[in-house]
Amino acid sequence: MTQAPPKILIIDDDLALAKTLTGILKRAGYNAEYVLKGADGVQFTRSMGSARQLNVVLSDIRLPDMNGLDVLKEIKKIDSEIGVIVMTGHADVETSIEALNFGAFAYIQKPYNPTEVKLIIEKVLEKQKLVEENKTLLTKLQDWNSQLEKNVREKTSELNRKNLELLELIERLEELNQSKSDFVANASHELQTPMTSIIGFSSILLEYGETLKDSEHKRFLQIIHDETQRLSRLSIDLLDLSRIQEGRITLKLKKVNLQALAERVRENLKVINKTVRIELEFDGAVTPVVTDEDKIHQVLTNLMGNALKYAPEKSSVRIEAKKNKEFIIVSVKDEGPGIPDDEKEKIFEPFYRVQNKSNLTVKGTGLGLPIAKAIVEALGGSISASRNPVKGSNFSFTIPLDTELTKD
Amino acid sequence: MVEPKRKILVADDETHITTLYQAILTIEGFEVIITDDGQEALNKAKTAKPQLMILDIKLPTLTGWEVCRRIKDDSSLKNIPIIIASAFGQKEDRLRSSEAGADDFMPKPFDSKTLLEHVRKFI
Repeated sequence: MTQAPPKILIIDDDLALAKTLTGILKRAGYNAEYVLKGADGVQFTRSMGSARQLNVVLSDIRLPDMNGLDVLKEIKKIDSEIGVIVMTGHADVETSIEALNFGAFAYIQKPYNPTEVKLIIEKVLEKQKLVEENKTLLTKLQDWNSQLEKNVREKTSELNRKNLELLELIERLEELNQSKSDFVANASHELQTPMTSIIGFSSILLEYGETLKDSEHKRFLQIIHDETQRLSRLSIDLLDLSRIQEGRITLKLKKVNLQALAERVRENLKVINKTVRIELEFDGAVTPVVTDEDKIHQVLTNLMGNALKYAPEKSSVRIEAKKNKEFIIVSVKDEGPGIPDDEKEKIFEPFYRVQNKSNLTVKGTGLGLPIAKAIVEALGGSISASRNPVKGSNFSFTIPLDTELTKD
Repeated sequence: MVEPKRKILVADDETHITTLYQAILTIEGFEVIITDDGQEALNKAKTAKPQLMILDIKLPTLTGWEVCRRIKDDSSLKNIPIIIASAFGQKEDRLRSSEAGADDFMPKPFDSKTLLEHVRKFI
């Protein structure tokens, strides 16, 4: 609230009365002024503007230029909160009551009693103050309310977002759960095949050993031997994969000469298919790189092993390494049957086999690529398969040059 | 009079497993017909008229269940008893096999005794 004294306008054509009353009110601490005509009073009120600058108007009901009632209506039109007190003679009581109906705060009969005038003015001011306080409270309440609504809206949308995140999480967990049970079902199927051979053929040797021909005896023993080895490889691969996927491996990082590593893998694997040429093409800038040598050895072994298994007689397998700003990119390319585009992601899933009858002759645990992928990702890189433009498949993986791993 | 050899049709896509069936059942005096494909199993059932069929579930072209259903829907073949063989402990496989009309279910792995017990229920 402003500290300025309340402003009061007196409208009366009786100059002496107007002056006297103005004087009385000024002495009482009000900022009082007078005009003699109704139109001047309306004009004055209008000049005060809409912000509460004029508090009270004391207006005579009989004015030379305008009816006091019209003055009242005009003032109320400008600002309905201005307290208008009409001053009347004895003869005008009816009009005064009418003035109350039009929104006058009170009427005073002439001759006026200054104390009564001041008392009524105080009442007007008090009422105005209450209205003002109510307004402030209402505004506060509305602000508070809209803040509350805003908070509720924010919390609601946050809740919705969290709900959505939770739903997505549940979906992901369900997928994970599904892929885990698929994995277990596949693994048990893969384990069951060699076990059936081992149990079945050993039972033949035990039951019918004496009646079998030597050649059959030997053949069945060979199957038992091979299938036992397959079972052993499978269990090692399964352990490897789950260990890497669950982050239960320790990476041993050091500077690795990739070309020397690739050459060692080539020496180890060339027996798989002796007619196939293995070509290495290393960009001179590639080595050395900080990574885990044993793990990269395993990735290269799995990829080169696959390439050799699927490579046609007398074809070539190429190992290429290139470097860009962030990665070393190693590619293993063969001239084999290649991988259909719609299967190039599935082949990294455990036990997935490209749907092609010619593959039935190629044996594997079905875990080589999933293991390679898990290792490459644990080392901060990525792996992908694509079809070679001419023939065969192309497996590429990346080794990051400068990663968090390297800084450890 | 010499009794004609009783014929058993076996379908499994693992070479070692078909070799296993063949070895045991041949020693026991059965004639064994082998296939690694579902559709082929159905065709051979029609031409060879075996006295028993042993089907793996996971077969190329038609699953063991599908072959079983089609045999049981064919009035000239439906009397051939069918054993479905599948991984041990798969309750659902057993249930779906009986729904497909299979006469018996044999869990894998199995030894020669177990196989013969299942076979001798029928022939």
